[in-house]
Amino acid sequence: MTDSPRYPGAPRWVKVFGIIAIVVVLLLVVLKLTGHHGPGRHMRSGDVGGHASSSSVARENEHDDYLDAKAIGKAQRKARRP
Amino acid sequence: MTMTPRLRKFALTAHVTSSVGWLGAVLVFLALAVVGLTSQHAQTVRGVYLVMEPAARLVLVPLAFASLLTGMAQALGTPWGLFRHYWVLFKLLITVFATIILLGYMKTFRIMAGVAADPSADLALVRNASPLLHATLALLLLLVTATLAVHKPRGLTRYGWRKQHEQRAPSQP
Repeated sequence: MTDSPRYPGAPRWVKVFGIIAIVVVLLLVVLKLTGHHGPGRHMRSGDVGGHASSSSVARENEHDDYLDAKAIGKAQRKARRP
Repeated sequence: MTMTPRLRKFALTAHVTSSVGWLGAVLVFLALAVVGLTSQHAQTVRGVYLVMEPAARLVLVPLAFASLLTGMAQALGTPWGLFRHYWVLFKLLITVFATIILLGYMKTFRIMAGVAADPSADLALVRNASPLLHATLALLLLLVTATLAVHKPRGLTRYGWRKQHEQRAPSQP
């Protein structure tokens, strides 16, 4: 009876892919936890490249205010219905 | 479970068609995103963000699920298996990841369409760089899966190694 050959381990390309995947997932988790990512929390125009200018931050806040106002208006209309 | 050659060819055709179709659809979204950011015509800009939501719901999501399901059927119905080779496993993980992100992004599509549909909303609020970023990242992911599928780099998982050894063992004296 012969012993089964030992598992040679994962090839190098798998290790490289694995490290990249872990870094990407960690980055997404950090962005999610810090509130910089998720539906409705994306960059506005002019932010390509990840450099948010003060005007774009202002537009982001303006956009959120706009969405809040829309949600409040919708809730008020719903409440007024008989 | 091994598929018959005819069924295998059908499944492979369905998988290649849906996967390449998904990649093509993402390219169209990339073009739409560029038009939305650069066009000087207000109606064109609003139209881009209005059309993204139904196009994603009717094209991107079905193609993503078709690619995922046909890929799983293809792997399970052939000797490649789903967890035996690293390239198959990575393709599966990337496709599942991209599909989950797409489903989560549907809410963003709805929000952008809502803003674009409001005539009182300023055009600067309607324009959004997020689809450009997400379509670029999706394109990169899908190109990685296409490259893995074409090159099929060597590398058995520990499970694949064990299964291969178990299959060879009974034939040895």
